[in-house]
Amino acid sequence: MLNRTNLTRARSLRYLASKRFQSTESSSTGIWSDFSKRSPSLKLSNPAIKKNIFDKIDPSEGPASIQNYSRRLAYHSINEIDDTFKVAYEYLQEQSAEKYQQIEVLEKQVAQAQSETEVKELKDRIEALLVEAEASNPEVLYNTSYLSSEDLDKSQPVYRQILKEKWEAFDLMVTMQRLEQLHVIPDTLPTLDPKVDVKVKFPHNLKDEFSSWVTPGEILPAFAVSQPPTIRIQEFERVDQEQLYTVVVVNPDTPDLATNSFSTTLQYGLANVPLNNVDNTISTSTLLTQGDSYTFQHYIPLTPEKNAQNQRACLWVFRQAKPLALDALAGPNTHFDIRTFVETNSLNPVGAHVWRQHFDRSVNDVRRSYGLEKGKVYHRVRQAHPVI
Amino acid sequence: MSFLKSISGLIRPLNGQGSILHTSSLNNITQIRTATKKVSGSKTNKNDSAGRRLGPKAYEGHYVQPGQIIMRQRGTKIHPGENVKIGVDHTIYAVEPGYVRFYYNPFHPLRKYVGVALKQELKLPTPHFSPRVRRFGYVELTDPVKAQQEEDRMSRKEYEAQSELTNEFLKSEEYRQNVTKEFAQSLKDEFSIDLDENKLQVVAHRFYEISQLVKNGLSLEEAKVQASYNHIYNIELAARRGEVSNFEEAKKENLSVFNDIDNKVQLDAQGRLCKYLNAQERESLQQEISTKLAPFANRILSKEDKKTVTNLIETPGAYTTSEQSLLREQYLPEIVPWTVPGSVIENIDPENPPKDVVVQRVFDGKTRSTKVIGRPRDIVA
Repeated sequence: MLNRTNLTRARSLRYLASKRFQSTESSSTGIWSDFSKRSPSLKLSNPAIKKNIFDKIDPSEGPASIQNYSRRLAYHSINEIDDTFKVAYEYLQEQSAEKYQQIEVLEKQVAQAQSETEVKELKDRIEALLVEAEASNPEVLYNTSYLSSEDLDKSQPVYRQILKEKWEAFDLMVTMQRLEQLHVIPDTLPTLDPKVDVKVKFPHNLKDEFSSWVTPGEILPAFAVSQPPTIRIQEFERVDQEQLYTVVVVNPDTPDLATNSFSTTLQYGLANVPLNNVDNTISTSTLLTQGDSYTFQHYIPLTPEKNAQNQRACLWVFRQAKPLALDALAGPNTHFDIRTFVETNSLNPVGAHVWRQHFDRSVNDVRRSYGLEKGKVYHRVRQAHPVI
Repeated sequence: MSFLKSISGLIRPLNGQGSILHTSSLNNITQIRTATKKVSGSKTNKNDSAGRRLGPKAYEGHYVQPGQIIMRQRGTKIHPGENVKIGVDHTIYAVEPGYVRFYYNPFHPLRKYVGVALKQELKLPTPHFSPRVRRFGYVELTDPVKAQQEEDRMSRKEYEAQSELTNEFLKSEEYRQNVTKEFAQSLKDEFSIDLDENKLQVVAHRFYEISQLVKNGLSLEEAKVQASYNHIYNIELAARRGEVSNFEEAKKENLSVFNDIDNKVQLDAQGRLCKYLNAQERESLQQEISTKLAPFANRILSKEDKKTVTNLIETPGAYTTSEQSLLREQYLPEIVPWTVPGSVIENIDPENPPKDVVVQRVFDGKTRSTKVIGRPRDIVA
């Protein structure tokens, strides 16, 4: 064991000598320390932690990333990690520099490109190379592992790529499971090819149990959804200019007594909402300042009637091909046919979300505040009357 | 016969009863039944039972009610499809009223299915991407008295939670009223905000909401916008109900009042009202505080010192909650680091340590051995 570590050490030292790697400081002159062309968001912002990663950790101080003082003191670095890290870092950095050289060549080609498709193709290749060039940068990896996704700079392809992988590993699976098991697909739209991460929260709630992001399929009381939600639409693909989005919330479980079946009601409709990779949220301040210019159907929360069972609020996010006329979209919100709506406006469904509600003691207050008449009450025993 | 002849010499001649073979004069053997009884029957031809009356009980196109049996079978000769279920003995029964359909499912081409179509004209299976056909089945209660009774009816769980829910509501309502009252009083007295009683209540309630929203993790700016929006949204709903005539004007007026107040008063990290500071003022205040804090760094603090540092960190309006926690970590650590002078006492007698000193056995990285040190009690916060 001892021999082996000695051998590794000897090798690494030889490598360092050959590279004339004299400096013990982190300020090497490689591409990953050069921020003239690279975004400063690729930097590790905490100087103490950065120093710990690139230089030796002072045993009397411990790593700055550990909060607790006694645990910090108890930390011991792995044998030879500093030399090994330096060697690996230099090697990876050289590879990254090669990628950046390729990017420079491609960027020149973009400037000379004739057609739009050619430009797009070249930009896609540049983006893929940018991801590869930064994917093993320790500073980037630190940021993606320890910073919250809200603090990451989504204009950088590498952060978008890593966030996409995280999304696919958990949140997307949960969302798709809920959409399928609660039959949001195919009861509203036939199916969904998910492209964006859709998150929903109701920030007006003063109780913290209702103010955080809603897990898809969660059952919420009427008071918790009594004001329009904040919707975060995270694009992982590059958005060159601004992309327009349409967002609708539909309730496919509105009782239709005439047919002894259900009809769909449009509960909320927004269109022409401009978003991009970074500016990705339809927030309260958006609604306060520009709400009217996006809204074609005012938000009406679901107010399920007594004994009418669970109802689903299905939120769909569409990419628009072109701007839409809000007046043309407005119409009666009952017996809403979402499939024709999507077809006539040539919308592309890219994301969805769902929460559920049933009758609770706050429904009547919400109905009153929205000026709706008192809800019906159904007998609690389900009858065997056929569908008409 | 020759076999009997050959063995007849071997048979012991017996006298009296019990012999099994009698030799006649003709040298023949005649069998005689003795008094024994056969106990069990034979197993042959016992395999048959009465028919179990299996098979379909409702045929293609028959109208069935929920619970009606469609198929009795051993194993799944036929699989349950739409609007039917299968029992423990593989009996298939309807769960919705409708018309029986036997069909094939393209997702399982080797299986036969039976289902119930809710309408006579519908075929099964329902196309994969089209919406499910669903039956509501609940009947509206038209009698207002019965309807009210049914609406008020609670499940056992809800009924038992009532007292707890009421208590919690009253408690939070009391807290809200107290905080709002305090805010209103302080707005009037400390910041001499001149508003009529109604507006003052609205503003105080808005500050209460901001304080709660900040607790929920919103930034102060976001919380301000959200609290304003909550109030404006209520006015908008009133306008939709026809209770407010000019919504746009009311919105503008309220927003300008909120804006004015926000330029005079703000909520600090401790949830108290304080004078509004713009970015520049805040920065200069922070600089001032940090110069005052500097002498307290890297030394053991007495109780008074700790109080002074806490007050400096909690100066109204100077720092956000996260900035405060960073400062606390720096100036008021839970345990003072070893590097602070006077916090490590070496060469002590562990048997008789000085007063107010804690004996610790620690690992010394340089000599790679353990050693005994003393640390003053003041190092712990």
